[in-house]
Parts: sequence; structure tokens; C-alpha cells
Amino acid sequence: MVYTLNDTPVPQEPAKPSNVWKEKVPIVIDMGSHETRIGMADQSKPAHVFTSRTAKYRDRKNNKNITAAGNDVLLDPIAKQNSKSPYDGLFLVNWDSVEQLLDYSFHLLGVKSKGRVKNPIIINEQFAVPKMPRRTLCELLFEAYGVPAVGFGVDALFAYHKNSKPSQAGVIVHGGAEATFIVPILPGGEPDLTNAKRINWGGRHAAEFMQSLLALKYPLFPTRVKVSEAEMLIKEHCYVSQDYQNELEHYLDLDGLEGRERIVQAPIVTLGNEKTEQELEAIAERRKESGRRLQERTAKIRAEKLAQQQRDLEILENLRETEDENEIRKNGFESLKSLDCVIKKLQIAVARAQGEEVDEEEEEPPVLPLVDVPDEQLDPETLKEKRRQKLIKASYDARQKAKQEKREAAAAAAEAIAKDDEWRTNNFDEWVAAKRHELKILQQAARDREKLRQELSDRKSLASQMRMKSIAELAGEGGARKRRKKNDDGEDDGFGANDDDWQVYIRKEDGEDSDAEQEQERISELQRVLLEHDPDFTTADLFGEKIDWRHSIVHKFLYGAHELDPENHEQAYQLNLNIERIRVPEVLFQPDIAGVDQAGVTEIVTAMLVSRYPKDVGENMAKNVIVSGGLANYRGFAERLHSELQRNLPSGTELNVRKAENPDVDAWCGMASWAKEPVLISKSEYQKHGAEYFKKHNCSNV
Amino acid sequence: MDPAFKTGWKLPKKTRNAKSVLQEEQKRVGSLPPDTPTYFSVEGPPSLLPAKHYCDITGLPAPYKTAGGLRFHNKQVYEIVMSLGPGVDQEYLKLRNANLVLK
Repeated sequence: MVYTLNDTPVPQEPAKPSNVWKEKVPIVIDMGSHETRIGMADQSKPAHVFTSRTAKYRDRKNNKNITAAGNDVLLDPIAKQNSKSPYDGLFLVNWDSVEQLLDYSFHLLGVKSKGRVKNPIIINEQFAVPKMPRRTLCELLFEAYGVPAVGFGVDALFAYHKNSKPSQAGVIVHGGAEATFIVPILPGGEPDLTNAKRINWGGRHAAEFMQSLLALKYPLFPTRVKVSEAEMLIKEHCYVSQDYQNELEHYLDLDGLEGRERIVQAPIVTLGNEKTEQELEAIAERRKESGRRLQERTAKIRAEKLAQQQRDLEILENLRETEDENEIRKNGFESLKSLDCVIKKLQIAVARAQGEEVDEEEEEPPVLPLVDVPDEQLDPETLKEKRRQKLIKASYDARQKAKQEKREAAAAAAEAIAKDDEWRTNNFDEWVAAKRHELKILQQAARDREKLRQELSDRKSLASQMRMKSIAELAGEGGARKRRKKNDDGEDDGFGANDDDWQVYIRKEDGEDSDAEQEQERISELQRVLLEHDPDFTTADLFGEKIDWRHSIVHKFLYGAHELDPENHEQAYQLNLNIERIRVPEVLFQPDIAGVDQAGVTEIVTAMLVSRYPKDVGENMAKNVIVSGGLANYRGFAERLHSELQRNLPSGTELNVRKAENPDVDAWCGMASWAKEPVLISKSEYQKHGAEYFKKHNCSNV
Repeated sequence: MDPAFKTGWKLPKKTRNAKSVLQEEQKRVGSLPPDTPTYFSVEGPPSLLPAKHYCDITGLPAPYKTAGGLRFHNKQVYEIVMSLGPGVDQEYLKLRNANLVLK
């Protein structure tokens, strides 16, 4: 099955206000770094959930300022590109964006009061948040919106209380987009913030990790996988392995790999797809037309030339027929013979142009009477002529010799082929064996050469060191000679007798020298004849001993349980997820995988339950371990945490690890139910004590 | 234009980044009693368990390591490692924050 590569779903139209606003009912806002959830406290679930992003940019074309917030940002590609998050990492810092999101939230809820928001606000804050962001948020709510009261709380704790009995002890493991928090809750329901821990790894890190993994896995992938797409890949295909080490070792086993891998098809983008088919046809037609014109022109030129040659030939032949030496001389020819020569050449040219096969006739030996006459008998004039004739003779001889050699070589080759054929027909088995043997030896030699080349490129390899040693010995010539004299009494040490000795002088760059090229040619020649005559030799053997993809772990990692078809366009746009499916979620258990120098979830929870508290408190907490937030959506997370904790805790400890009921909205629901008996900071308190005034409660920071 | 439910009060320009927030917090934390939970104190501790090694290319268990620090699963993966272009090994190391950073 092939899955498609999905991006964050884009809404069809701008979100419509739900107008659920009521007077005096608290407004509950859970502004996470990934999603914001808003609603009225009397609702059972958030009225609106949207991405925590805002955009503000100037449309130069229409000269308009454009602002968008929440999911509306996704509607406009330019807005999406320019969008910002109110958060930088874990902190609210981008206050323009916060304000924009709050405006948008109150607009969606349909706040009707004039001049200020008359409802109390319940809003989340990050766990162990620094003072500055809270102070600014407080200021913003009281001053810009004029709210009567504000309640702050940590979303992880709200999610915990939503999922457990009142004042029950336990541990909450809450994974957001920017970090994962582990908070122990004491009997009575109060969080023990001193012993709480944060792992700096969240959904965003996981998505970026996945993106980098894929970019490195397929460096030539035609499109770039976006972070938002990587996020969807994690959501759809990743799961937490119950026994990572064991599952990992056998993940790429061919047996069952098809069930484990996920093939994800990215949209195929064809280059130049702006041109329609008709346009493409027109272009092809134009190209054909111009080719045709060019052909016509050359044909015309050729015909003209032929006609000219034919005319010339006719004239010359007429001249020849007169056999009048004087007339011939008048036309610039030395003799009848030279005229014949020219006519012959023309005849050949014409015949060729008319497409006839012409045997190149044996060149007649030039008549060179002066060559053999001794110099003494000649005057300066004829001496000069003799020199010229000598040159002609030399070049004629050379031509003849070359022709002779060519004939001999052709004959020899034909003979070799005949011999080879005879050998093959008479003794096929022997022939095949011999050819295969030769091929094997040549391929081995090629491999050896390649290996040597690689080793020489590594300065520390044995081959490099041996080479340096020989060079050093050669350089210290004096010493070497002395030693040689002493040892061998001046006798040769035999260096050079073996052909391989000369490899010392072959520089690294010369690895692909002419020898190698010749051998390569011979290899292809052998492969060709074997392919033609040996029924057992198939195209698969062409690659020598290249390993079958079934045995190649790299192939299975990159392309899964299928042979790669380089012609298949769709395959070029496919991602094969296999080990990544468990590798990405595993980071929470082994942060070291992604270079996070922190203990994993299990280690931290174990330490909390075993050594931080009196035995009975720890045992109480073990009964109520809750997993919430985005990470709870990983399949198998709670189960894995359960089985690992069980192994680490003293035997007989009652353990209960469970996933929050609705990991995504439980924090908001917890806030809404807390709003029934809230701990609020009123406007008068704010005015009296300032923005840093704070009230502690069961779900708050300190 | 502001929505009707706003007072018209403007927040002084306050866009910061996480770094400056943390710097400010660092100053504040110095004056607090030592066991007050803060952003810094809740940071998860380093692991005390021996780290398992995984192949940087495939993610499989990796008993070997190249001179450059890349971990690899077997000979076949080593061939890939050897054929990597310049700088790609650092990209792989970056996945686990082990790349060489020149300052």
C-alpha cells in the first residue's frame, strides 16, 4: 500500500465566529505553542481549536495591510509564509502576535461588551515560566482588554486533574511541542514542583528530526519534505516500539519487511508544467520543421556541388578525347597522365555523391625517375626536383605500409575470431570455462586496483604507509646503495623484476591509467560474448559480484522490500519509512539518539518513584501515572512506559500508567472545570500589588 | 482599527527573544532561596545509564565508529559512509549534536 504525503489540512474558508459568548462566564484560553484552544467555561469542550500562528504583512500590489490569525493564516500562502508564533521556544515573547491571537479568540467567541472584555479569563502558562512573560501577559489582559480577573495555571496540571480523582497522588508526563514535562503530584493533589523535570524535546523537535533524517536519507529527493509534512508523517506512521533494541535489530529483515515499511508518495512535480500539451506539441513541431529545413538546405548544396562536378567532368572528358597535348597543357595540366588522374578523382567523387559504393582502387606507384639517379649527375634544378620526388616516394611508401598493416591486423582478427568460433563449436564447455576464468581474473584485478586506490587515498592505511616507506628508501639513495653493497656485494636486489614493484611509481591520480582502460574494454568484450553464447550468463551477472538487493541492508533501508526501478517516475518521489517509524519516538526514552544530554522519560519517572519520596508516597504515585499532551498520541507510548517502569520498580508495586482520555483537549477541559472554583487575581489586586502579584493553587506555578 | 472590546491601551514594544527572557530570569533566580523551582532547576538531569550506540546512517545498532566519529552498522553502510560528499558526515553528526562547530 502506498500512502500519500500529507501537509497540515487547510480549512475550506475562514473560521466563522461561534458566538457562544455569555456574560460573566469565564473565558478559557489554552494557548499552546502549537495549538490554541478557546471556549467558555460552561462548555464541555473547546469551541475553537486553531494553530497558534499569526501573520501581519503589507500587500504591496493592493496597498493593503493584511492580518490573519489562527487557521485563517493557512488559507493565504503569503500569510502562511510570513506567519509568526507568539512563542520563542517555551516562552511568550512575541507580544504583537499574542495580542492578535487574543483579539481573534474574542472575535470568534463573539464578545459583545463594549470598551472591555467583562469576563474573567482563565489562561494557561508554561511550567516553571520565567517572571517576565507572565508579567507582560498580566499587563496585557488587565490593561488592553480591561478584564475583571485572571486565573493562571499550568496546562499539564490541569490535564492531570481532569484525568484523576480529586486530590489523588500521581505523576503527569505531559509532552508539548517544545518540551516534555514530568511532574509528581503529592497526596492531596498538590504538585511537587521542586522535583519536577523537563526534557527539552517536544513535537517540534521530533518533526525537525524527522525532516533532517529524510533529507539525509534521500539527498537527491526531487522535493523538500516540509516540517509540517514531517509532523504529519510522525502522526500517521510512527509508533513507540515496545522492545526497541530487539525490534530494531530485525526491522530490516526481509521477512515481513513489507508489513513494517511505509511507502509514502510525494506529489510528482514535473518541470516546466506551466506549458500545456498543445504548446509542447507546437514546440516539437517547430523543432522538427527547422530540422527539415536544414536538411533541405544541405541536400540542395550537395546537389549543386554534384552538378558542378559533373559539368567539370564532362569538360575534362571532352578535353581528354581530343588527345591534343597542346590543348591539355593550355588548360593547366602538365600531361595527359595528370589529366587522367584528375578525371579519375572526379569520377569517384561523383559516384560517391550519387550514393554508389566505390572500391578504393590500389594507388598506382608514382613515377619518380629521378630518385635513383645519383646526385652527381644532376644540376641544381633537377636536384631540387629529386628532393621533391623523394618526399613523394616516402609518403607513398608510408601509406602502403599502413595499408598493409591494416590488412594484416584485420586478417589476424578474423583468424582469431574464427579460431575462437571453432574452439567454441568443438569444445563449448572448455571455452566457457576459459572465458569465465579470464573475466573473473580481470574483474578481480579491477577490484584490487580500486581497493588500492581507495587505500592510497587514506593516509593512514597500510598501503599508503608501505608506499611512503618505499619512497623514503628510494629518497635516501646513498644509504640504500651502501646497504645494498654490504648485503649483496653489489648484486641487484631484484627490484623491478616483478611488475607490481613499479606500482610504487604510479601516482595516486594515475589510478585509472591506460592499462585499466584496456582491461575494462576486455571485460566488456568478454561479457558481450558470454552474454551472446553462454546460456547461464545473464544480464544480472553483468555487475560482477554485485550483491543482490535482498542482502543489502542499505537497499532495504532506502527502498524497502522492492527492487528499484530507475525508470519508474513514481518511485523517484517515494519515501520509504522503516526504521524512522520507531527511531523518532524513541528519542523520548533515549534522548541521546538526538544528542539531547538528558535522561529519558523512564529513567526520570523511576527516579521520582523510587528515591524521591517515602516508600508509601512513591507507591501511591505509581498507581496513577498519566500521559497527556501531543506525545500521548504516539501509539504504544503508555504501554512502553508501563512495561519499563514495571521492570525498574520493586516487584509487587502496583503500577498504573494510562493515556489521558483526550490528550489534545484535556488541558482545556481541566481548566474549564477548575473555573468553577477558580483562584483568580482581581483587577483591584492587580492595581494594588502590581503585575507580579500571584496566587498559588493546585494547578499553578509558584 | 481595534475591536470594540478593547480599551485602546497599547503595550509598550516588548518583542524579545527566548535568550533575553532567560538572561533576565537568571538574574532574578540569583536572589531566590536555593530550592525554589525555576526554569533552570527543573531541567532534566543527564542520564546515568550507559548510552547505546546506533548507526548514524540507518539507525541500526552500531558496533563500529569511523575516525571522524560517525557510527555505522556494518561493512555495507561503511561503503556508504566512505562515499559521502564533503560535509555530509557533519550533517549526520549534527543529528545528535556531535558535529564539529568552528567558532
